[in-house]
Amino acid sequence: MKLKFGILVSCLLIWSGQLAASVPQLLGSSATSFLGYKTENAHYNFFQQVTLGYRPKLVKNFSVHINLMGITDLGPATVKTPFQVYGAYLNWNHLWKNRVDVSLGRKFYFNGVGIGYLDGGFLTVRPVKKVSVAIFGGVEVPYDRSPKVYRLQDGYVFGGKFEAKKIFGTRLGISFYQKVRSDSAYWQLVGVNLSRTFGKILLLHTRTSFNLLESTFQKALVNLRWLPTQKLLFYLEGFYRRPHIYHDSFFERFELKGLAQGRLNAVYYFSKKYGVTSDLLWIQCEEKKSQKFRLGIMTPYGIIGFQQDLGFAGFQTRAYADVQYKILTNLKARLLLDFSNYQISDWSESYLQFGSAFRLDYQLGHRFLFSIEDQFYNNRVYKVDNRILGQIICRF
Amino acid sequence: MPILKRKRVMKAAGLLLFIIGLFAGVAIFANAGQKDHLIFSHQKHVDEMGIECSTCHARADSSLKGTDNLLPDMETCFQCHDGDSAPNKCTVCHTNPDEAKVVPRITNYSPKFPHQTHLQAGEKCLTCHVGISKATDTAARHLPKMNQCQACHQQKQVSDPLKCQVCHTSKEDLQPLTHKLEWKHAHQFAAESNPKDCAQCHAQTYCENCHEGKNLTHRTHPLNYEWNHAIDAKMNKIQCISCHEDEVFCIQCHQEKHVMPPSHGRVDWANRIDGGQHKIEAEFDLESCVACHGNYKTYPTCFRCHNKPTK
Repeated sequence: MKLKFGILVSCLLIWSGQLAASVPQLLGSSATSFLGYKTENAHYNFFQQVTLGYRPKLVKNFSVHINLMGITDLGPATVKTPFQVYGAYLNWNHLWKNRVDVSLGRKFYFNGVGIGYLDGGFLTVRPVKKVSVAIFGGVEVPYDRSPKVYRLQDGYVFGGKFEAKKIFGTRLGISFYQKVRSDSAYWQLVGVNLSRTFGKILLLHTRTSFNLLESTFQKALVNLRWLPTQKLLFYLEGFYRRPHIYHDSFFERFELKGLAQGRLNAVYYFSKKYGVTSDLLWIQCEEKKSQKFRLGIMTPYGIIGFQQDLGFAGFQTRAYADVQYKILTNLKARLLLDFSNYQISDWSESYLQFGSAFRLDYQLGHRFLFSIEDQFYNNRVYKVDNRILGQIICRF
Repeated sequence: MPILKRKRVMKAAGLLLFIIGLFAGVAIFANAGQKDHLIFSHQKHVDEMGIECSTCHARADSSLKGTDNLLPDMETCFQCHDGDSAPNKCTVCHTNPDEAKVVPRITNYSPKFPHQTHLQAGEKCLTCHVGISKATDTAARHLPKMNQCQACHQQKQVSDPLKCQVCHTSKEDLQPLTHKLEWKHAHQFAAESNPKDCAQCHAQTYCENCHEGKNLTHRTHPLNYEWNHAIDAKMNKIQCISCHEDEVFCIQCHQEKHVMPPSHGRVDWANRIDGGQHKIEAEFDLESCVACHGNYKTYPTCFRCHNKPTK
């Protein structure tokens, strides 16, 4: 199967190359990274990521998209998946008077209730201007994004989404999603999404999903964004979620209790460069509760913040900073600091952790970015864990 | 909930309310005041009287920068408003002539934008400044939105819509204000409500760099997250599942690094009388149990005791 996938990717690359020769529009990037560190042994990890998008001029509305990563460790072999494929698909957009889009290959999807990567086909039809119907189907991509393609007989996924835009000012989405293995469904959801703006100052977004196999609510989310002035912003969020347990899982035998979560967030921008944010998040499962409070300050040099976690999920007092300074027009320094005292339960020990990273970015034209970063970690296992990261990013 | 913890929560909530009140007060105070407004109708000048755009915006056809000031000055207005062919009183154009203000210049438009190139290519002013000939006041700017530029550039095969450098310089700060504080959490709603907005600047691989990347530069998770992520995994799983759609993710590291949650070492972790601590933890966060013990092809550890359905 790996061989088949390799051949498929090679064909895509060759075909893309031929199309490129016909003066295509080419968009992409290459990121070469090196991470060196020493724990029990010294590790020298190399990462090579390539993303490409070709739009050949000869074939109208057609494009090829590729997102690949290769990883190797020159130290002791720790890399289990040296070649990872995040995306490799062919795309036909705006067919039949902009009514149809088709994609084929490995692609990310999110239809409101289902999320992930598929090796399969994707079709979107827009029969009238404000209505679209999207369907997709295929086999799930291995979690490690290896080039392996699962057999259809072992399990498959399909779903779709009906979407109506701006009907009475509301965007409505109705989604369906199903996972099947051994000829029986083990995850089947139907969902409704609604979003509506009220006079540009209020945005209401809701997302609900219903588990058809268990005949119960799986998720319900309400998010309200209120923008009373251009500088002031509030978010109010409510969320209920039943644990994500598949129908054929042993754990479905237990009585599953949902978690309710609320969040209140206020942001104020004094100017384009100065702002402050604070949020309060609380979560509850019957009588067990947890809270998180966060305060962040934005300055022209970056963000500094403070965080406090309390309750059943754990305790943490954390301070962090992510600041940057332009030394020269093309040379930027960035410093990250993170310190916290945390305790993962009220009965466990508390630990201190400190992390820092100092990074220099040099931008050469609009195509190249050269970076070097020194990372330092101190935690309950490693008193000194020093790492060096080097990156060369090329955009074309 | 213990009294001490409740007090802490109340303090945090009180502080948050104070900050919200402070923000609201500052915002209301900042919006006070009265200003002079320009009275000008493009509809009257262009649509009804048939005056060419270049009569007032004479510098447009030679302009090579988006930052050029192409608005007419008062001298230009007085060429027609000379008191004979058109009135020249101050109140014709100003609501409050005693405190007359200059109409704000447009200084933050794309610096690379050349009017000259577009006009020489045969484009009409109204192609980009849609609806301006019908405008009866100056409240709206009628500047083209980026998706209009991109649609035209793509249709006429000028450039790929995602090649930012065609229109922008590397010195420009292209990050919208909405993308600064809290965007990491809020972008999901914007992306779902209007994905086309995102696609104006970002290819899908941009999303994958964070949602699927190796977190080499800590854009997704903070430094040392490997050590304290357990708190978020229990408390804020909504964030975890936006990328780690299945709990399979957890077991990879936990198995490879032989990490057993410290809770499992407790003397009262599990018993056959009331379940012990593991019952309490599982009720709050069953997915964490499933992450390691939930492989559907093998019997989970739990099955040794939970051999009968409890439902």
